[in-house]
Amino acid sequence: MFDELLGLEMHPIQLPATRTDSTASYYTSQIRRFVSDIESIHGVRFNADLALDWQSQKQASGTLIAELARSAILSPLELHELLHLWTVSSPFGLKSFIEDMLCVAPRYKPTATVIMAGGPVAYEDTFMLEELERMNIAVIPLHCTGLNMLESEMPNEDNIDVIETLALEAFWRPACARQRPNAGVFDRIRNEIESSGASGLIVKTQTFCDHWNTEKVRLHEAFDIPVIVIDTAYSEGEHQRQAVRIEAFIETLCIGSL
Amino acid sequence: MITETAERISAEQWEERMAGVPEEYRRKCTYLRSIVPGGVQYLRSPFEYSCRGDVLLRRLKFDSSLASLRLWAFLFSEKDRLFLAKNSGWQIYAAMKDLGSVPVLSYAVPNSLTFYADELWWAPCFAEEPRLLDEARKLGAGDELCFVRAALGAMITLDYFPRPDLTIAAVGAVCDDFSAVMQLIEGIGIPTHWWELPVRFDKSKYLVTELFEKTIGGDSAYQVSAKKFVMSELRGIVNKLEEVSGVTITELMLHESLSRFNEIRKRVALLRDLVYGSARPPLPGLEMMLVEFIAIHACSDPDESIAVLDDLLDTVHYRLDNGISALADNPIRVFWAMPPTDASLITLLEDLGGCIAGTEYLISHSFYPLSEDVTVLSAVADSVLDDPMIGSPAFRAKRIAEEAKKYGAEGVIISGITGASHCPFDEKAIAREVELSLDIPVLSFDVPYSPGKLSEQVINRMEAFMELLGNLRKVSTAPLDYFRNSMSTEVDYVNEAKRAGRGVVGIYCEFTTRELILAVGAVPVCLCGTNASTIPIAETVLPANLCPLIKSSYGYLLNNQCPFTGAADMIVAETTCDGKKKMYELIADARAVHVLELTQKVRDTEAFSHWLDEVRKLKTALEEKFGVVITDERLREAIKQMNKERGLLKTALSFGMEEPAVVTGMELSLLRYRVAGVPGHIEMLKAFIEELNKRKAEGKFVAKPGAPRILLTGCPTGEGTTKIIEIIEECGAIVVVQETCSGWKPLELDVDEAMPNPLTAIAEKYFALPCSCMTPNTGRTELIGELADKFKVNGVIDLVWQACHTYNIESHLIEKFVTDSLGLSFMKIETDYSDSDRERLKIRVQTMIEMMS
Repeated sequence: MFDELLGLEMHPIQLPATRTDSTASYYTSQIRRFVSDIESIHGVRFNADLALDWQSQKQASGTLIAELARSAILSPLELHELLHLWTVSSPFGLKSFIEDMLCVAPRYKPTATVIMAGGPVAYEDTFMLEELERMNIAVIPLHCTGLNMLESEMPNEDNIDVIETLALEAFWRPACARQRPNAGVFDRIRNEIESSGASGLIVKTQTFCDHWNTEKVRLHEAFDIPVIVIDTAYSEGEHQRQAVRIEAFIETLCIGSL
Repeated sequence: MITETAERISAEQWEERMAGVPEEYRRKCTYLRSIVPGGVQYLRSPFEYSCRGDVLLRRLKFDSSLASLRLWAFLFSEKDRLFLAKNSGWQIYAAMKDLGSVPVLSYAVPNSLTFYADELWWAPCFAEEPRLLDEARKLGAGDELCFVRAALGAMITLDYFPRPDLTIAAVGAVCDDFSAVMQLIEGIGIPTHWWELPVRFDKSKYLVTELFEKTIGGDSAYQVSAKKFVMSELRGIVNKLEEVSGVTITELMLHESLSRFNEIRKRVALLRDLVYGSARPPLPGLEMMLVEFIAIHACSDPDESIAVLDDLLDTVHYRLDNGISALADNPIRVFWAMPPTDASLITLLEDLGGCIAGTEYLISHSFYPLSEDVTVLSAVADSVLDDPMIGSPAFRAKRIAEEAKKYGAEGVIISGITGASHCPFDEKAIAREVELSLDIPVLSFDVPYSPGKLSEQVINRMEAFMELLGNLRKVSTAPLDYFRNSMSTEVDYVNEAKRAGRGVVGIYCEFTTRELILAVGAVPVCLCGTNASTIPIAETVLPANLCPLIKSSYGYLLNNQCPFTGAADMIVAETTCDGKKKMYELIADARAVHVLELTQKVRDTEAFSHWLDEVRKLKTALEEKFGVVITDERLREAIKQMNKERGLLKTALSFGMEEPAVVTGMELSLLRYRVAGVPGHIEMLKAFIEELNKRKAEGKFVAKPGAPRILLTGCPTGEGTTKIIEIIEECGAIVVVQETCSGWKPLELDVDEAMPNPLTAIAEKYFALPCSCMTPNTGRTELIGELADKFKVNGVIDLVWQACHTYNIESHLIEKFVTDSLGLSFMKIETDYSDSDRERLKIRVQTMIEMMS
């Protein structure tokens, strides 16, 4: 529709739902085709060194943000803004910028930590983070726009096929609810609960996001900590109700911890 | 066993006829002959199957042939086959989503059956109880998903099939609903093999390095890399089947299975062509739906499937040879897209005089023959790549339009699946493609879950749609289509005239003498002013309590959205009412405006000479503006031209006198075009008159005899402001004539071609217009009386645009005249251009019409 209605240049790439060697290979072939098409249409050449450099810088700053998230020294909103910065800014110099910023930033001292899993947390969803910050809670973001997008592994080898390496780095990123099977999503949350000692799990879903919405029941049953599902639709009308639910959830956690 | 006649009968009627079914035929209908010697007889009536839980069957109508009875019984006995096979030690595989590809591979495994768990979406509808949906909801699959969630419920209850040994789940280029449901099925411990369906990309200018080929069966273009990938995924399925069954699957075994499925596909494709291609289909739509679904998995018994299809083919051939069908004569041909979740929709379609002329139930890839000249995996991969669901909505839409054309469909119904993610995209694309390429009506609706009966809303929409298709058969609309789209013709005409050096004069009112404009060689163009969208911008300058016609006209001038304003060299305005008069002052700075002063006391002796002076001044202004002398010769030529055009319009509007009506008020309102003297308009007016004569001769009426006949008077209507006419006709009455400026009023008198002074003749014609700005305006009541008599009207509706003082006040006199002198029903409607009061107005009009009836 973008191509037909808006006349935008569209390059379709299918992200397979399954994670097998066969699908990895298919995904890689599509990325190769995408690169070739870009070269052919725009008369440019793929610069492997620049791509690798870009990715390693991206990864370095991503690793730092993940460490900060797990050490809970940033408030939920600060962390959210940092994640947003990571997605939109050039990676060159980003790590040192964050480090400089940390030198002057006041330390957040939370009373408890929760994990937030689920779909993307958008600007319209920050009311949840505001509420958590108001209650002095730290958040480990395991949702689609959280650590899931910045924790990946790159092989540290010479003479690699750069396109294949970058494609596979994206392909094998931490589990997404859309993956089939998606047991990895549950494993990842379980591991994070164990390592962080988080008191509760907030599952943030978007209305009509089938992949997360249909997992509500299983997510409630899968873990030994309290779970709440917050369903949002970018509508301000629901904010107050959802904020009250979060407040009640946190109060329950704190009473439990006492 | 072919019967001589064909009927559509109920489940109960079938039950009554079961005693007459020959024993020999019953013995022929058996399944799983390789498990039970001689097979298991299954020929029971739909009524008996309804007693086993599928109560929807009692609301359906069935074809009365034995072949159809066998078909229904075969489909509804599938559950028995699956349990029997499982209890006999066979393996049971549940395929999901690929709809036709996996069984070709899995039936190569001896002693196994494969069924489609996602076909269970019909179960809650057939059973008319939501247990499976409730079970699914408990596990997280609620109403936000489509009915495929019933498969999850069925995996829990195991009422419809035994626990499968393996579920083979296709994901990737499938909708999220399928994917999520399959994940939950795996979550309850059902062994699942996942495989990936690739997206079939359309060729595009951006996919420059991708190679494309076409499938052998369906001729679908696909990227070569996808084919290789599908083959590797299919290899994975075969490996998994070997692992689960412990059987080594050879190419020969696969080939035998493929050949058997080809036998099924060949028969299904032939049946489709024979039935859908027939003017009076020899089999009803429900039976054909069952036939099509046999193609995807052979209904858990490939050998019996072939026998069932052969039986149907014999019946179809016999019926075609002997002109037998259970359907109405000359049924309305409808193409059906998307599987109808409620089977009774097809029964309803046929009850309404329709027939199915082609389908696309998302399984069309299962009707194409599989190539036997390549490896089985390559042939099946081709079939996978023909799947309509893995490509773009545009591709699917194009295919549907081609099929609808092939089978001569008169309309297309798209029955959306509530909760399905892909439907909204596909439905729009299909509707647009069909309307663009075939220009036939499309009805699109979601089918809600409504056990026990069809949703009233769906019934109403189906009824209205079939009525529309029926009317389209009766009535040609070609000339009307021209007038419906005449704006673009007029824009081209005006632009061409400008390029040729002709002047363009914008006008607003019927008092403007078009003959003078034509005589100066310019084009008279009625400027825009009948759209609510331009009112807000006008209200930034004009007071809100002004009539919508003035505000809309002024809004168009402000936002320059009227395609004629820019072309107009001058605007001729007139002093009809205070609002217009003062509005013209606001535009005079930016536009060349000439104002005609109307003589409002028409009975005064000096009135006409004043008006004649005004007409003369306009003549001078036009001559000066365009540098052309308007001679008497030129005037006479223009008079003839306008008289001819008015005469044709008047002839067309006169068809409103016919009883029963041969033309609707809405149709006649389309003749209200904007530019005078366009040759195409004249030709199409003639064509329309011819069409109306034809309707009259052939007795093709647009309303029932005795339908209330309404005369509409008051303020003018126009494109975008016909809501009152729409409402009146939606309520079952007919607007037989508009007395207004947008109807008969400006046509009543011609310019007298015999008068020695043509300018005086022109002035006389316009001087006689009975507008409410005149005082007193007795001409209006005289005209209403005359028209009420000629058009045999039963009631008068006086339309007053809000804040139009002259018509508003005069309405009192009109009411008195209509009720006292004519003895007719009367209603005054005061409204504006918005639609906000439509429902309220409809109730008022309905009440008036009810009282008149």
